[in-house]
Amino acid sequence: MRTCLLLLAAALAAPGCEAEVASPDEETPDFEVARTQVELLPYRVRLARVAQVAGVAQDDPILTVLRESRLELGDHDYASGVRPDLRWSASRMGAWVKAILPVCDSEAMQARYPDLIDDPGALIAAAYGRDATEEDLTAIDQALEGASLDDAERRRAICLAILSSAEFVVR
Amino acid sequence: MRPLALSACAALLAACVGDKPPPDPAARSEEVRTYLSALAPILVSRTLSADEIALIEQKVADEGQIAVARQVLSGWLGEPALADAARELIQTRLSVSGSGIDGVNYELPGNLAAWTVVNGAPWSTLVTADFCVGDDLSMIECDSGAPYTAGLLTTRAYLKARASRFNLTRASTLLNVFACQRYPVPQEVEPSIAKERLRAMFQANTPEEQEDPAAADAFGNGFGCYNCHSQFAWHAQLFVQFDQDGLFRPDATGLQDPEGELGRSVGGLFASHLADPAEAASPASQMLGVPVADLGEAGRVLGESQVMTECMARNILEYGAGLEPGAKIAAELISEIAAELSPGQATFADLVLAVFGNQRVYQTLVEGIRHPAPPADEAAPAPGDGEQGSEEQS
Repeated sequence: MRTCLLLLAAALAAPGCEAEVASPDEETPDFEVARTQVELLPYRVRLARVAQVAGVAQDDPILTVLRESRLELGDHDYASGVRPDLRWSASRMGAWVKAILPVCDSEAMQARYPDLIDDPGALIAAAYGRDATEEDLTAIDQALEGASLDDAERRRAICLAILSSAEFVVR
Repeated sequence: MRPLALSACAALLAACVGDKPPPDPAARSEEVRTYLSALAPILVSRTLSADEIALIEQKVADEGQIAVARQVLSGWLGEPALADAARELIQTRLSVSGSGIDGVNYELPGNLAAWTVVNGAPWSTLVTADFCVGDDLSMIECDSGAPYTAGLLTTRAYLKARASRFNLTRASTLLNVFACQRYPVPQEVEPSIAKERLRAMFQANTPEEQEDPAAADAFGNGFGCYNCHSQFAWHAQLFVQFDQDGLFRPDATGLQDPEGELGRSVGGLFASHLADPAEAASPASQMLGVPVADLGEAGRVLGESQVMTECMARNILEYGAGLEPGAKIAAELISEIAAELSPGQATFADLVLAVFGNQRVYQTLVEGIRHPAPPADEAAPAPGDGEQGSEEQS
């Protein structure tokens, strides 16, 4: 609406409109969303989303490592002098993969996504909140191409890839 | 006026009056999805549901983008995860959380925030509650032992984490987080205390005026002391009866410990700004220009104020949109959002809906997601972002 009014003001100021309206200044946004480095979602959000995808409560044993690693994964505890750290660093990626490994290997995930190897679409939909695209599926195929993996390893690799993807963990 | 120009103007006017959105329904739906997908993880810890996506796709064409966005947002307001967002917002703004080895429960401020959301209480409860909230979200007695309460401001967590000489950090955090102000505050927000009521060191505004050698040597250089401390004095005085461990001490005098560090009183208490010993010992002060008997009354004045309502809207916008605390936000936008809210009565849910259901917020955030601005050269200072125990100086 504001943009629209500015356009209207500009149109009225142009030759052909009788009203004399000063040219509007260049529009300044109400606030700016800065382009910064990749920033993780808060830890509490990532924990909640993993639990949702697995269909378990946040205190479920398959999330034990994820909970116990919370400070390593960027959560805050000011009383212990730890501030939130939402950088997606190499060490944090490693800690994240380690923490979600028990989730990917869990019976809950096997039961919820029984066809994960042949059809990762259900997990993608649950994780991303949208349908899987050809691009998603191609990326997974390309990542696993040439790898000599048995079914359990392939399943785990697909799960880790989706739950470690930027779309899942990054704001 | 030529007919062609007139028709062009009329078309534009019609578009403006009707707030006509982009013509392509799919693009309009996609825009709403983009907007809400950016907010959902932070506010309700999830992605958009299939039902929400269907609702967006079905209704945007007829009802418009902002109306549908508000419908989806309204559906989030009863979700338990919203309380987690409120907890995190308060914890990160105050830099207070966790369970210390010192026996203080630093979760109490966050617990109160979560309780306030779960129970649909006004968000101003944060500074007005006469109770505290345990880790199981049950009401408990507060831990400072004070006969007056001001929500999280009278928890030991806040008081101990923000303890510092002259009570400056407690005061500045209060002002930053709940009024979105920094010293010196505009006079219309907080009129200064009269110079003669202050200790000599705080009356100076130039080095030449600085007559207190203790201040000149150890504390202030004299530049602008009065400008800030004439307002600091009001808010710091509210904390004069709380010691460095966050415990209420009725025997507090507010007097400088002659043997101690500048700004410290005896027995782990902090010195007052005020010259008169009777005034220095009293928790009576002023909040936003209103005389108050103690911190409890100050919390109620603050909680009922337009200043806090606007500040809470700003905090929620910053938090939800991922802006730096203290980011530059158009003041008119904050006023526009706050106009939808009742000071003292607005809940966290009301604030979320008013902020993220606002047309200008919608447009600016969508534009920002599509075309993010380059990072600012200098990050804005973050309210309440100091290290625990850090001190403000003149």
